[in-house]
Amino acid sequence: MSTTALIVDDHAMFRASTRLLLDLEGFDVVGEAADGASAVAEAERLRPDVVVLDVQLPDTTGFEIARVLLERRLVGRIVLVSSRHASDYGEQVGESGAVGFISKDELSGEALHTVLDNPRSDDAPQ
Amino acid sequence: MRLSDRSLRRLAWSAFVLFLLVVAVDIALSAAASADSTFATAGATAGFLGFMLLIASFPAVGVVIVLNQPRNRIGWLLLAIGAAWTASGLLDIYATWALAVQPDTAPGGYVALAVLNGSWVPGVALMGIWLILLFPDGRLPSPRWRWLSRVTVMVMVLGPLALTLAPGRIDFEPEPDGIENPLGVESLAPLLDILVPILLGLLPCCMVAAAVSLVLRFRRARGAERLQLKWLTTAGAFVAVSFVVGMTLSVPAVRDGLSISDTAMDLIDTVSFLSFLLVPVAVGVAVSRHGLYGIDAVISRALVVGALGVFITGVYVAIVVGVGALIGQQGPSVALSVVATAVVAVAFQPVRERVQRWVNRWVYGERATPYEVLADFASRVTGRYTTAELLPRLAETVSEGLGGARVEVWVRTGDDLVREVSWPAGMEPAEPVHVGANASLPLAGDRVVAVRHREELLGALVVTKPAGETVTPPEEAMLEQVATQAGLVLRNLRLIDDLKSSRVRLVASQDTERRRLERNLHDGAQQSLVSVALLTRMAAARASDPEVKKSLSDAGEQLQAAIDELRELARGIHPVVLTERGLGPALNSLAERAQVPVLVEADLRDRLPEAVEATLYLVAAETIRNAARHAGAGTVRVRVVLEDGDVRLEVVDDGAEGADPSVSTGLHGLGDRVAAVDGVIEVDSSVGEGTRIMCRVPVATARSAVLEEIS
Repeated sequence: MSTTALIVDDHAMFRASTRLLLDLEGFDVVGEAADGASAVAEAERLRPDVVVLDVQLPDTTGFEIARVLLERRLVGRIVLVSSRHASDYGEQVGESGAVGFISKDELSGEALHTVLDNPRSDDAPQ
Repeated sequence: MRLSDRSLRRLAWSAFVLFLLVVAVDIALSAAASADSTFATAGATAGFLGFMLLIASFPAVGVVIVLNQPRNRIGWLLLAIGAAWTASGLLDIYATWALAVQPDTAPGGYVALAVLNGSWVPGVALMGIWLILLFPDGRLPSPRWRWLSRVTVMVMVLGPLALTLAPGRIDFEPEPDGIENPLGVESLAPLLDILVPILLGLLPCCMVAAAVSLVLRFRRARGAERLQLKWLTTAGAFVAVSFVVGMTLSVPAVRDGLSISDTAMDLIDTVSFLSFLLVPVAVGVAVSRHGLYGIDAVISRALVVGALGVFITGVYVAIVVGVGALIGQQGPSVALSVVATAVVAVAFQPVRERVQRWVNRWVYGERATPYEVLADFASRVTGRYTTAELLPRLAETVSEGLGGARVEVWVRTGDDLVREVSWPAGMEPAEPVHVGANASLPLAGDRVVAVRHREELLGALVVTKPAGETVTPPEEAMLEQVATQAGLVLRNLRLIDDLKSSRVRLVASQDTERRRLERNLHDGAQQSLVSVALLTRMAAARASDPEVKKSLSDAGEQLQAAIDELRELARGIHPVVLTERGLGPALNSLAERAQVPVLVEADLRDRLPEAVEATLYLVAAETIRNAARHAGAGTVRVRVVLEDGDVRLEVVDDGAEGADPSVSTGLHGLGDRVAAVDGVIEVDSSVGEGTRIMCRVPVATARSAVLEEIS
């Protein structure tokens, strides 16, 4: 059975591109959400293995959503994505509990697999 | 370790109680000694009691000061003076007791005597140097006086030590030749023969230096501090005069010439001795500021009464003795006395008025005429004075014009009057006063003058003359004139305040606009480009035709370059890292991307108000850009520190050319921006030495400005 994935991004075009990428990489994209609140609701309903989570959301930040999702054990692993660089956010990235951060410029199947196969991802709550 | 105010107060009380106990022991031993011994006379005991009373006045005032201001060093200094003299007195009594009164009952009498020999040095140094040097705020007048404090400490430590160890005879009343110092070290004699005179010679030199520091402090002092210093100097002058008079009169020739009786001489001695009490009293008044403003009245009264005394005595002597001698009168003449009395009676009032005028001029300084006050004020209003300076100047000018009267300027805000300034400065804080519907002014003072502009009440001037003086009609007229001009000033101040808050709003809205623009770029164009780039990369990865693959990769790379450019643009408008993580990380990120090497040293624990962060970031960014572009800089050093409630940003480059603020529009625009958050920016550049930009912004003001903007 393939890995289920949820895409959270307020930008429809980016969600579509990401969905295509994930499909091609063999993920099963089970849902999409455009803001923090619906992200939590969708995660509760779908319990995905992986969440691709944008940092900048209209109602909150990706860091906050990551914290909620992991605390409530709604998802397996979280990958933060942003069109900004990790250095703009400093320690927040490491503290969020996400297994990794990928700049949207560098998003590719290879980058996703590298982050998800990272040993740190074994520590993530199942 | 930092003690709480409460512990400090307790400590002071305990020290004072201990002091009283030791004094009680001193007195008991002294009384027992005089009753029991042949050498201690009742007179000596009385003298000792008087001395103890005098000494006790210092720590008594000290404990009062510490209870009110536990951290004022003057209070502790007064306690230390008490401790030093008590210790010395205790040694004295103990040595007397152990050696002369009850020999063999107490050990260590000779040792006590040897230590006593040098024990007066700390007490004298505390009173004669420290008190004068640290008065009135407990701090040195300036760091330049540190040498004096160091020399004094050295004398206070080494002086007693050297005197205690110096071999030789020590005075001891029962033995006419004194006794040999039991602690004297013979081998140190050559050293101490030189050291002791040097140390004891330094003591009066330090006292003179301390007096000089007091004079310099006085010349520099303004407002309340000047009054505090006046109290001490007045007391000091009185002590000096009474001592000089006492000593002059005690010279046998003078004493016989004036045929002063023993009783009178005792009285004079007692007065000059007790005049020393004025010193702690003056220190207490000055430091507690209780009745501080009375000093000019005290001096003025004393001088007028003294001068009138001289006048009356002079008239009597001139008429009764002088005229009597001229007409060959022997002995006192009733007629001449009557004439003298009549002359005094007739001349008294005019003379008193004349003397009072002289004294006022001398005490309160030359007073300006009403015309001068108006001219001076008018020039100040039109001159380039800032809001903060103008009102104190107004109060000062009016005070000068009214011969040292106390002047308060109240400014209306809403329905309340608030006291903005007072002259002399340092009055007790005043509560805002509500202005009633009838616009009456419920303020206390000799004269309360409303300040209006076109019938609108904007504030009030309150004048309180020195005790015993009234506001004269010309002064009244001047006040009215000044109040008319002050109306214009207060209206301008209000306009300036409005302008300033609108400028702050402008800067804040600029910042908001920049953030919005950055976000729009990021959310709109950039996101779309990023998506397209992702799709292109995916397509390139999957394309089987090498030519298509190549074209797609090229397209992806060009897209990426466009995204990077767009990101740099957004970052220039408002860097995300500044919003997210604050000034320090934003400056570091700036340094990483700069065209020249940049060293950042940002010592900030907490986030600063948004407006301050944005302003300082823009200053640093513009300066670094400037350095990279024009100055041919080697390394740029950026430093941010918090200092007395201000943030200070310093950007130094070692470039060959300088930045000229009048030429560089970028830096000029920054000046306006910095001013909007109440800051200042200084550009210091000289060809060949690089440029130094110093920017200082108050945190609190900027914070309140931002709060105002938010509300």
